[in-house]
Amino acid sequence: MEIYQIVAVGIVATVLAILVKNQKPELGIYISLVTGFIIFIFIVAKLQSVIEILNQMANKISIDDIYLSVILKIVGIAYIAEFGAQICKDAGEGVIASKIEFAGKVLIMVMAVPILVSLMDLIINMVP
Amino acid sequence: MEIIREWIMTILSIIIFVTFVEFLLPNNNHRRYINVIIGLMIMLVILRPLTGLVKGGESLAEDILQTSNQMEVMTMQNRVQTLEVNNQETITYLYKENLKSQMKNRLEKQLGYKVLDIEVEIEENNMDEFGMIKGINIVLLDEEKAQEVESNKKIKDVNVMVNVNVSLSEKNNNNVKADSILLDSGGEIIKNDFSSFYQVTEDNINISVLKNK
Repeated sequence: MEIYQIVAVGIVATVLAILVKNQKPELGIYISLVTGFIIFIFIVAKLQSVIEILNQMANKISIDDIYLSVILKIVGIAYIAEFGAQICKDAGEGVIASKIEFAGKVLIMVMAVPILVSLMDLIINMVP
Repeated sequence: MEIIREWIMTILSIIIFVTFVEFLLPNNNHRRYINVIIGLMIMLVILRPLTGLVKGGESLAEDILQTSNQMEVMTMQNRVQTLEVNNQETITYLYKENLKSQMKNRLEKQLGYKVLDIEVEIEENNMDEFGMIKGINIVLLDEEKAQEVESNKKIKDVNVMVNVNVSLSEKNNNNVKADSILLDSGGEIIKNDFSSFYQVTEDNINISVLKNK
């Protein structure tokens, strides 16, 4: 069970960070950063397989590929922006974190514009 | 019948997929935007076949790809434009700096003056003659020479306003005007030397010496 490994890594890192924090507070940030990456890498492989299976399913029932890819891309952008912003917030850099969130919002908006344009096109064509 | 079946399948599978994917969403304010976009997308999926009946349009994927490609192209164009402007500015700056250091070396090593500042004005708008020197403004700091000139001409109490160069901007000259005087005898040598070396007319070379206080 991978959840044991992940929780173990998390707890060990937390204990380490608390121990180190008294002597050198800046080391705590490095520990949390590295732990975050380790857990992320653990999970990414699993997530990849899930997404591949979903894609296969989508091909089987022959729905347009574009829907799934757009939704997944948007979720990915949101998730990665959140990940980066959290690390910055932990390190006490709230301003940088808010900038990362802003960039995430803009990129999500960029992804949404083609959908919006086609929807508007559709509505304009429908209404005589 | 086949079209209706496909339509219903698409709507259902997208709704199921979205519900599933919502697990992954982080718990922050991104969720709102994502929900709006998903709502737009479901609206699009539901409305899509209606226009298909009115006019057989091309597939949605093509539409979306076309728009996103258009946006990519525009982004790239903007980036290239910014890069070009930056490049141009850097080239001009480097060219001016190199010219200045070359002139400074020439003045200090060959003619033995101390240089305080050199301003070079070059042709930037006309691409055929890009880089041609339009004007040079030299401020020298030569204590001996300055004292010599001062004692010869007794200009201690005279506020000499010298501004021969018309092409250089007024502001540039104002910086040194109040404290400087035009160098006559040595100036001719520098002017001759510079005008033959850099191909600038002597009228456009402006030389001043910072007055010793």
